[in-house]
Amino acid sequence: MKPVLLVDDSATMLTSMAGVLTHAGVAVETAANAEQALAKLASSPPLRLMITDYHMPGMNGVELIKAVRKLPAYRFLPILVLTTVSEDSKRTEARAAGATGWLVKPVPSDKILAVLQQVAPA
Amino acid sequence: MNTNPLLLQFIPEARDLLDQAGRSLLALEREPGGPALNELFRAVHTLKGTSGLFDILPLTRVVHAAEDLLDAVQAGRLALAAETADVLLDALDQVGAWINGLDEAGELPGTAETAADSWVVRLRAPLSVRDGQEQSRERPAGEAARAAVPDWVAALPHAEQHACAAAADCPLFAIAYMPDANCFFRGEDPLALIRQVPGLRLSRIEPRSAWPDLETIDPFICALRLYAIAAADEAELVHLFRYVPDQVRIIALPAEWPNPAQPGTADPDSLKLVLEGQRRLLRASGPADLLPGRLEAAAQALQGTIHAIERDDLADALAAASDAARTTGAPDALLAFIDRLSADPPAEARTGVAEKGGDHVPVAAAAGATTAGAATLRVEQSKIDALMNLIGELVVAKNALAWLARQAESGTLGPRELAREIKDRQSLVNRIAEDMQGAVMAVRMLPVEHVFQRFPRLVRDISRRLGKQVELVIEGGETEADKNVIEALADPLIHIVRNSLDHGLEPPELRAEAGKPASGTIRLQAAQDNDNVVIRVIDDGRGIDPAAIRRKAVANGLIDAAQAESLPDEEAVKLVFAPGFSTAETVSDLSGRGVGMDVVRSAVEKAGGRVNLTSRKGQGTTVELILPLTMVVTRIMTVAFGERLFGVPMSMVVETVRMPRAARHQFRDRETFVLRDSVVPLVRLAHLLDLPPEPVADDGEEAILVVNVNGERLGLVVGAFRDGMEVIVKPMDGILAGLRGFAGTTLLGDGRVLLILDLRELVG
Repeated sequence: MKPVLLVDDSATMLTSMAGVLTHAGVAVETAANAEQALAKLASSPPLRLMITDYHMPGMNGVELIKAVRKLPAYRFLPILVLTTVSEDSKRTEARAAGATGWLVKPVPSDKILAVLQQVAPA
Repeated sequence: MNTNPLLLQFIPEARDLLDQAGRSLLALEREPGGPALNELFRAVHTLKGTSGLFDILPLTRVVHAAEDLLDAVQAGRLALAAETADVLLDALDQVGAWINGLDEAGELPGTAETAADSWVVRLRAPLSVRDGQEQSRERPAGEAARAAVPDWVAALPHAEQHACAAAADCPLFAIAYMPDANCFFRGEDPLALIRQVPGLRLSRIEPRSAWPDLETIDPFICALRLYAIAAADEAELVHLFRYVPDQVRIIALPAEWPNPAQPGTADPDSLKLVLEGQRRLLRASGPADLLPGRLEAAAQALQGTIHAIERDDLADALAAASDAARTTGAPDALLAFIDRLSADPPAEARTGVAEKGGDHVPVAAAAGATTAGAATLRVEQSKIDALMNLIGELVVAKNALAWLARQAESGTLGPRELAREIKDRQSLVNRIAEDMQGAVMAVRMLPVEHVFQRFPRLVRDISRRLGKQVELVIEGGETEADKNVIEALADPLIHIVRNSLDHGLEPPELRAEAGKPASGTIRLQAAQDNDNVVIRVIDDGRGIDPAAIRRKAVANGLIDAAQAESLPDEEAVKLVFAPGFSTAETVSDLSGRGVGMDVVRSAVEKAGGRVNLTSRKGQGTTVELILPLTMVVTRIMTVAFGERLFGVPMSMVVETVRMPRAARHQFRDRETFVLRDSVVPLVRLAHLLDLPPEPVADDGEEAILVVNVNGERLGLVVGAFRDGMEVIVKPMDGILAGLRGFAGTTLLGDGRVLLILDLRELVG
């Protein structure tokens, strides 16, 4: 089964989301920053979905999305960006960069699964 | 001490983030406008997001307020004064203290709630202008205002109001839900939410504003508002809408709602509707023999109507009208009765739903419309029939095997006869399998038209936007190819056509100067060429300037100046397919979707095809996509190398020859041989795959597979030739995915895995 790649500099956030997904039987890969994520993309099997935080040290989420969209294999990969309620402009920016949509933090577990089914059905 | 593993992870992370925030804040004071601001914001932001995972709302609120403050600083709306920095530092200290408390006690102190209030006020003070807004947003959605009945409730037909209120054992709440326009991207499902409302008595969906034209509608935007009336516990409702509190208004309906209706007054709107319906029924034109039935129907409906509005006193009048209509065979008497009823409506005629802005859509109907179709394939009946016939043959062939097994068991057939019989059946099954394969392929074949049909509209829209006149000519749309190939074709083709429109065709003035007709032409051609389908996009635009391409390629570091110099023009223009190459100086919103021709190439190659480009400056460009007709079964030739076997796609094989070693020539550092008077370069498989040199055959001859790679003939020295076969090539998967030089793998009859060589990658 294709894994979901989670990218967040907060290990807590990663553990939390990975826990929800793993519990639901979804394979998960994690990366602590954009650079790690890109390395994962270069070596990993096809992904089901990528969820990335916006604010990260080094490349931010939108820069990551732009870089990912340049990889031919990932042009159509669903990508969600994690934002907070107040970050309308970030969402627009992320969408322009090629994000499929966004999730508002903190993401309740039923919602993360619902969104997964919605944007990247198994 | 707490044992929640997630919290255990959060605590050190939170301390790190607080440390980082503190350091950044100090650095920022030393060097305002430096990178420290971003780091500070990020640390606070991350802390806020992560803290939201736990039940520590006071802490989250303080960090949230700090984040809002920093957001304003980052956006330049606020200068970070020293006092503000002080408040921030103090607030971070407070959060640090709470984190320590969390570590020790597993919870925040009881005073945290009130302390958070004052911290939030202090942190928001510099943002006083925005403060009011924030406060109203933070009000919990739970406090259902004890207000008057909302307009939309008042506008409901009386009958529905009463139906909602009937036998309510819980208080009634009116729920107005305005989903955020972008809610779908957050996985919110407004319809599902409304349907989950406990004690749902009524629901309504209406468009927020008049629907736009179909062409401009954005299906990803939620343009609806939803209403519901529920007899439920308020806390349950608040819980249900906990993720969208800002989009929902829950209002408790007064106990005396709805106003008791006057006896004998039905809802005037429904009465009007019913009467109007009868009028239409009676006035409708149609065959004369249907009229008696219609008269009867109207008479019955009116009978029910007067009963419902408790005007049974009119029964006699109605009976008279019905009789008159029956005897005359004309509806006039009934129409007159209807007019009388409408002119004499029950009291309390009020405006109602009909005058409201939006159309009401029952929930169930809207749900039905959202059901998405699964991927389906339209297939001609004759193709399915052919498959059915083959299945029939297969069943017969299968039965013959059972008979054979019995023969083998009883020993009536000797081994030789048995073998012959088995071979016979095998060849029969083999024939059926081949035919079935062909039949299934045929099922998967679609005309290219499928992809082409979207282009007239695309070309029209884009050319209008660009102010160019373009004529699109489509040829060969009936050419068939496998569904997968057709699908693989769509995206690259769109990209190429956009490129032609955007960069290829000149504006009318320039065309006139160049002596061309003002209107440009783009030809979309499809044709079958042996096992390939060839798609050409031909424009008569300005063509590609090889000199510009060379400059750009050198500037982008794709090749060096010397290489550029030696590159013939027709090769230079192909550099547009190189990764990272984009000829347009400014990326327009049309073709510049962050992808270039290299994506076209890789998409086509992935589908097993190739791309060709020819261009003459000033005369136009032709892009040629050559794709296999099917992607499912590939004919390969196997070659042996020592113990190893490899597959080479048959489409690349030109011929096989055996040459004495002496026949080859050394040409500088390359080996060549002469094949029917032409010199063909030699490549050794051993060299390409870094294998030990092949043992020389006793007769001194070498097996040379002549292949066609990118239009050039090449001799591939292999160990020995083996069978040709049809295989299903599986793409390289998992850790092998990154391996270059192999097109994929297939399983051999004996279970071995055969690697299929990708000569384009190996040689190129």
